[in-house]
Amino acid sequence: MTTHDKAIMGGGCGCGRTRYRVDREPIFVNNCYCALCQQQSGGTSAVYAYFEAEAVTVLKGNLVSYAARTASDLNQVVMQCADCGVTLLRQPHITGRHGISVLVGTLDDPWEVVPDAAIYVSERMPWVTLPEGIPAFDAYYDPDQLLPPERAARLRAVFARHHADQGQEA
Amino acid sequence: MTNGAAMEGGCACGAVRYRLTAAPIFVNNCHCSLCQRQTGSTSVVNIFIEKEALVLLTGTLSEHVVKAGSGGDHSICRCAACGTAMWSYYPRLGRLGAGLRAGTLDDPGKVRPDAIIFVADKMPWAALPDDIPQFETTYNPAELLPPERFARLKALIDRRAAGEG
Repeated sequence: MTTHDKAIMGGGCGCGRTRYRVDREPIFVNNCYCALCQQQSGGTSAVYAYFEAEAVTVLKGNLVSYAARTASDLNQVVMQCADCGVTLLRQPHITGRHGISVLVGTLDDPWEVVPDAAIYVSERMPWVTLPEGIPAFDAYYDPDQLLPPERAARLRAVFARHHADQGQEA
Repeated sequence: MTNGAAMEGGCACGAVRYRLTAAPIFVNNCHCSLCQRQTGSTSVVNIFIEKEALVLLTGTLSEHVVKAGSGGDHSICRCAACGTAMWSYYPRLGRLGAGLRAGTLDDPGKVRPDAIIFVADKMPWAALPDDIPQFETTYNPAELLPPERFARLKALIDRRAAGEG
């Protein structure tokens, strides 16, 4: 968690026209087995790494946005490469413009990221085996209990900025 | 394998709906790096079926082309309204057979993979069920699939070789 000022990961779409870079370590990484993530990925689950919005920079390409629901966020924005349709980014409604998730499969080195948690495992396809050594939850978890203090603090800061946008107490 | 005639599915916004009028020929859970990138996830779960057995009931599809592992064109059909990927046409079967993303079924629990493929490329932390055959890359469908299902696949491959699709 010390590298905060340089590109530490790169990623892109299926055709190569859209590229992004990430300048920080993730605040958290979730492996979500909810039915809506199954539907949107076509696979067993989604794997996404969440960051402060400014940590992710789109370097080139054109994105198109769609509204989508998942179990953990009922109104998020899904961003796809306009040329090949591959989904790269998701912006959850709960933190507005201040937070963003990268779909881990679109990273150039997806093996460098390991989930902090497997979530909504109660909805998983019946034949699926859950990863060993990664905490699993029937629904979601309390980030203040699960995440290291420094990352939990970063998450609270993102929520605070979002609440300030809404004119509420953080 | 379940009776495919009972299976329907759709996209995230509900505009696209489809029905399967046959049981799957085979189901692959593919962990290759291209499937990771195209799904954003650990892997895809693809139901392969004759295209004529995959009926679009409602909605409009958009189509995008990416490269398949073989270097040929892999065409992904998505809901034009919400962008959810529904099914793919791969080079081997062309438009004669579709690879339908199992997560779009109303009840994805009705299907189970015949094989887990390209496990050599999998995300290191991803766990694999030990009661489904696993392959470093691909497998010989003549050896793995029951004869009736392999015959359906062979019929598509023969039609493709004859210039269809």
